[in-house]
Amino acid sequence: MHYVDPHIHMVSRITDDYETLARMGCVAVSEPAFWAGFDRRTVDGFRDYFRQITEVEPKRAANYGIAHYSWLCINAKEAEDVKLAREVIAAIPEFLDAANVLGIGEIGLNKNTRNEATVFMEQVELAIRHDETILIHTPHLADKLRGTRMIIDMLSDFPSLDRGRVVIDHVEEHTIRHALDAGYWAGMTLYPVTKCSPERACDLVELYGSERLLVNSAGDWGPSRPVAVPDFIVAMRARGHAEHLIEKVVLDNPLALFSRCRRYVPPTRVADRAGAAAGNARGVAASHRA
Amino acid sequence: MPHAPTQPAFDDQRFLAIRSLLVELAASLDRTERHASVGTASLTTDPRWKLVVAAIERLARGQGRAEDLQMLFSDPYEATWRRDGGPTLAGSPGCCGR
Repeated sequence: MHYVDPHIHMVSRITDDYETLARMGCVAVSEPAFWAGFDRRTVDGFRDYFRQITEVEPKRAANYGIAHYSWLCINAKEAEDVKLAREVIAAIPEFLDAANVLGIGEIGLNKNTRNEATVFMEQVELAIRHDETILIHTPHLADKLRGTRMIIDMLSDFPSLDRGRVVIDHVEEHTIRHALDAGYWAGMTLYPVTKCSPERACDLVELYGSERLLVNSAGDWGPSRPVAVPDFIVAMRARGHAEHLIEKVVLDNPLALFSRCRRYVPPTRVADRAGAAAGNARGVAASHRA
Repeated sequence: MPHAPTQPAFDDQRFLAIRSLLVELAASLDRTERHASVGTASLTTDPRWKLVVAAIERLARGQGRAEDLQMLFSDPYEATWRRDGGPTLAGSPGCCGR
């Protein structure tokens, strides 16, 4: 089955992972900007990172016929330095017209602090000003419920915001209802120990339906499984769920969200373009997706 | 339920999976108590252990266990957080590099 991983940090993964994703049926990934494992010291450090996820990763992905989309922001963990955060926010528009950019993300909260909230609000304003879609990170473990509700509370300050262009990510049993009931997309992250498991994600599909629901791996430089979405597909099949239901969650839904971006082009065309830019003589392995 | 599975509700495979999880949980609890008994740690006063004990008690209740446990392990949300200056620093390890 073809699928999309709508949240994975490929800058942290080796090229073999791209090949594995392609073999598993992955046709597209989207890569939100995140924390590199250390705090960047200058706005130019972020510029280099934005170049990496708008220029370099699309070419790496295209070598395996995978379309690579990205989201730009300063993440919550580096938002404590509000001065630097504002410099980064001012620089983001330089990259917004890159062909693979879907919007602003993953903005959000980490420790639910005042500064994080300030930087979150300013990035929502940036997204609205530039008519961008938004991907939101919610905190972890004990902080998740509080942070998720704070985020939804802050978003209510923007009545003109189209909630169908916003995804609240990393939802679990106690936060999914808040995201969906408010009209947002909800992302379930299949991540060892601290997040959702494939079986629990199946439970949430059974309980809440498949509308506006996404599933992702959040594969990054920590313990994580870049093939977590195929794990979910296998778990759903084991329960006897219909192929069209599974495909809706892992393929149709993420592409429906992506299509709300004003620059959106379908995965085959993205990979074609990046492959051509990379001088990929093989071109894009689009035939298997036709 | 919007999407009901078509597989049997309770078969050998599911029984064995739950059995395995329960035995693993039991062994984890035994191990923790055993190790605590030879060290200086006091489980009875450890707030994390109290959460574990409360969570196990909730398992005996009916539907909604997973959400109940998530709420048990969550810091409370204060609707007045903006007026009160925001919550104090907490922070948990997780994904996306945190």
